[in-house]
Amino acid sequence: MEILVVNLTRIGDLVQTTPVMAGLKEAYPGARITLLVNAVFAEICKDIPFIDRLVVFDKPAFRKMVRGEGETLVDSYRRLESFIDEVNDIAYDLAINFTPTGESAVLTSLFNARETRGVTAGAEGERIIKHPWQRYFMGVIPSRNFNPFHLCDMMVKAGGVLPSRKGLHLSVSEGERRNARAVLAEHGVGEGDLLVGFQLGASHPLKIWPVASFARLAVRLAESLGARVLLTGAKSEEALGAEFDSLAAGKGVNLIGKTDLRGVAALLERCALLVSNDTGPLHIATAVGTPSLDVSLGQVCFRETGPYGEGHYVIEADIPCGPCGFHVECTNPLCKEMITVGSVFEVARRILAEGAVDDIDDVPAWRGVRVYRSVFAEDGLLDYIPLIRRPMTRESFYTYLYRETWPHILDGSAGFPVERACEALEAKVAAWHGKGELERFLETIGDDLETVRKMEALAEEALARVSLIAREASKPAPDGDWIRRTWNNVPAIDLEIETLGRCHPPLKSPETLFGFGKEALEGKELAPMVKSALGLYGDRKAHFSALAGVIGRLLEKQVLARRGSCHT
Amino acid sequence: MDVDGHLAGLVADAGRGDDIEIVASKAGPPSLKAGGIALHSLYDPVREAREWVEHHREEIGNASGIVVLGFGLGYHVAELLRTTDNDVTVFEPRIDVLRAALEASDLSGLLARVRIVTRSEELAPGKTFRVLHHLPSIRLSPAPFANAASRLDVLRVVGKGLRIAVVGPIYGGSLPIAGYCAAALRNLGHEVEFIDNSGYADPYLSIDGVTKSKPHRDILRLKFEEFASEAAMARIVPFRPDLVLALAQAPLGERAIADLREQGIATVFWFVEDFRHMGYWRSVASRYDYFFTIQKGEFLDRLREVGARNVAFLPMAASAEIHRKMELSPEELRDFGSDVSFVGAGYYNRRKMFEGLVDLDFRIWGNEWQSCPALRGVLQRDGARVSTEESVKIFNAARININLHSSAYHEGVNPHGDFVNPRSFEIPGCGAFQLVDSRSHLGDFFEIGREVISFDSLGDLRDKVAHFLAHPEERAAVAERGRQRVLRDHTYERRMEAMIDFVVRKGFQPPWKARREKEDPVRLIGEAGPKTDLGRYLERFADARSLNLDDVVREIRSECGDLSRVERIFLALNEIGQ
Repeated sequence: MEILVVNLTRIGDLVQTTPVMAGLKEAYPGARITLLVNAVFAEICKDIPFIDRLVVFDKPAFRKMVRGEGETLVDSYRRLESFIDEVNDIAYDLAINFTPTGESAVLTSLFNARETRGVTAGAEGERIIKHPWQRYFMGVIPSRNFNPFHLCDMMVKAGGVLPSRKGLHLSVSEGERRNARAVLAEHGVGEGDLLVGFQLGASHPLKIWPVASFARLAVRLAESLGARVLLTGAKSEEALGAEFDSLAAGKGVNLIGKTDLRGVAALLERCALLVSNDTGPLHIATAVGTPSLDVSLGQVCFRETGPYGEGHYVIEADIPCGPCGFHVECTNPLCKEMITVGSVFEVARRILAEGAVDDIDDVPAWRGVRVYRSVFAEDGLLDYIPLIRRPMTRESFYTYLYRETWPHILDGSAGFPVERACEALEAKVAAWHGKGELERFLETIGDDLETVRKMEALAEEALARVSLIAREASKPAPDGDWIRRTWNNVPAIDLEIETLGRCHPPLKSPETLFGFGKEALEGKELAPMVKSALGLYGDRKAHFSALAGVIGRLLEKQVLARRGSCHT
Repeated sequence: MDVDGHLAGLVADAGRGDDIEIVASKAGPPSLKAGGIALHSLYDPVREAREWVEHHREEIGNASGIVVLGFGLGYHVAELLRTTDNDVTVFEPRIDVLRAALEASDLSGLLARVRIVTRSEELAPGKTFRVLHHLPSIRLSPAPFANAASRLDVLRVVGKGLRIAVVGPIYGGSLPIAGYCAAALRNLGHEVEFIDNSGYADPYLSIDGVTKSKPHRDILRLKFEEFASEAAMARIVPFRPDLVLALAQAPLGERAIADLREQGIATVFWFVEDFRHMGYWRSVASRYDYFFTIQKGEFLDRLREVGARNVAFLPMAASAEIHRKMELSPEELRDFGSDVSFVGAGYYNRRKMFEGLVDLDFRIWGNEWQSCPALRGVLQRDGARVSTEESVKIFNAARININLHSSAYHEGVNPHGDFVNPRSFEIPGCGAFQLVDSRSHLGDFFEIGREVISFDSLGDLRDKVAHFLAHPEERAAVAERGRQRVLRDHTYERRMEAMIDFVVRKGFQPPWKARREKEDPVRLIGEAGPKTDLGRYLERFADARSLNLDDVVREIRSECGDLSRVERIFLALNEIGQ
């Protein structure tokens, strides 16, 4: 079996595609994987274990060409055409593209594959999203709140291949390891020395923890634990390194801009811990098995892009505006100050000293931050456990609730197991927030039940009409007028649900995915459109039913328990 | 003989050349001797023509258009037409030679297929062309042929047209002229971006109300002009012009001009002002690559002294689209008509002189006349500004339009006045009759007495008013001849042609020429291979001026239905470039 994996994004995303590749190798024994990757990341692909053939896309060169620097339109066309031909040297059984850009969608549509998963372009050039999990990733994630899933899990789900070997995968070669040891030795770092990696840069200034904080952390790690600090990063981050050196003279081995990505992987493998902003090296460290502590700031939503693996840590500010919305240019990034050097140091110290941190007492020193540890749950998807036990927020409750409902809806499973979901929720809340916490919380959400039931009823009404239309549309000569008349009231119902969602943000997500799918329906032929519509309306109704079912049952159980306690 | 009307008229007007002689060749067909030069073989002109075509065969085959310099008796042209279907233009400045040719044989078949041009400025052979020389004709009259060759060189550089940004002033007399230039350049086939700054007029003029302190006002104006300059650049730069034409008082700062020049963009300034009245040319002239003036002589020397590099005289003109003959309604004739009329601002000399006309049916239109009690009776609309549209109606409605060039200190006609104002062209452009004060340049543009009537003094003016009011037919004849002259020689199209001609002759090469050649659709189709999928797809753009990825993507998006592979690859290219 020949499989093409298209990955035209950044290094972090590339490393985060490795679970899908692992899953593909497991699901299709003997399959050969061709990876299409940006030229700048070609080298590190040697360390990705699942790749049988690498095709390199030199995007900057193409970009320069397209922008008319020296080439004619025909030249550009021919160059791209021959690149596509090169990719198509093999006839693929399956092509997978998770890069959500127009560029990769059109390119994917030009590759010869019997089946395509992820994102591609349709007959008229329209973007086609092939799997409900992919639609979830592209439609719901932009509204961010209440998302419980990691990007890697969304990809493995959308790829239809959940691997048994969990986590990210990079294998450091012996040669690179030797080089790393030699470089470190040159800087006076011996084999037995405690080495902590720092990644100072990130793709956006709001995601960067201040260099001064990193410098103070280095001083404390050195003074308390005798640790040496290793700085890695790209050439573009050299200024950050220089600032660090000026603030913590002699504390860091500054290799920023001096190593390639394979070298970085080997160096990070040697570290006992990486303290990092949310960026590529965080995932490289995770992939080579080095525990990481992700300082999650700005637009970063760690549940989506935090360290993907067991036993990694995240610290984030306990701030109502976080994570920032996309496109927000915050001018007062308080979150950077709220994550104090003391709190990061304390988490790092305990990881280094104790090997793992299971819980943190909620003493005033931790006020303003939240700390999590990553763990794979029973269903194979990643969870982040809060380490400081605090009262459950509404946001947390719905994140946990959606963690139960979305997989069911997106996997297309029949009959939502309300009882099992309630038990899972009860166990999770008790373990993560304390006994009695769910009961306390349920006192506050009676209104939500009423709203979600209203949404469920409306969704049912819309579904009933769409079902009738589907039945009529399947006839040899459907009655267009009748279909139009029946359809007439549906948009108003949709609008009513949307309005309820806007007024009750935690209940909005099903409607968001529905709206995203509905946009893609416009302009198609009747029969396939009705079929897709039926799926969309059905899923929305099923989801509201599941939410109403769980909330209703939890409240019912609470009432029953009270009555029981009265009798006793 | 059936020849086109224009040529027939020319030939009919032409005399028979004294030095021209039709002689029989040895083989029989007539040959021609002029100025002692045999324009065709005296033995066998037909065979000679065949050899001439054979000699040029390769060039003929490759060209889509052909220009032949020299007609003679047309043997070589007739032979050429036997071998090509392409457009053929023949340049022949000697009308007497053309007349002799028409008399010597029946050329009607030939003339139906070729365009004959007698003035080099009429040469416009289209996109790509080859030039073939008829050497005996060129030897006979070298100067006009050299001129034509030079004109063809210019056309070759200009190609399918330049990209030109026209920068107007914030307000003032050169504002409409900027618009006329932009329109004329478009009519000539150039791509034009008009950088209209008139939207800044109100805030700019409001500076006067901010403070009475002149130094402060000057600073504020300077800051405003810097802003306007940067705003103009923000619009010019993405347009990627070959040439920027700034009209008088255009707010382009020194740095902006230097930046444009650095990119190889030709910077051109048209100083449509009286240099004696407006002195800012001293600081501006050296910044631009090309500086055009409406005055000659002394001014050109002084410009060179202040460091101007390429200076040329480029007189004012009229817009054929705006300044046109109109049929006015009885109401409009009543509103705008009079025996004698003047449109313009109340400069000192006008106020003085027009006092001597108040006994006539005289109407003054325009502003800045308020301080003139003697003219109160003739001033219209209480001295309100007159729009261009209204002024065209006034010119059309008045029996006599007076045009007195402004002066701040003469009592009437400036005896040393040189340049000719726009009104001198606009009034005849409207087919209207004008009496204009004597100007030293006037005779360069009009045949005085036939196409325009001038006056030297109030007395002279009054006499001529009386005469022409009494002789409407004379008035109409002068006006019509003036109109024909304007349409032929004094439109903004002619001026813009002359401007580009000068710029190119001075060695200008469009900076983006290579890029545009790269975007030639015909070339691209050839490159793709006309029989390939790509070539066949690109065929639909064959007639476009240029073709780039944006054009292709726009075309793809405007169509419905399934995409072809070619279209997908183009969409992918587009996405990659985003």
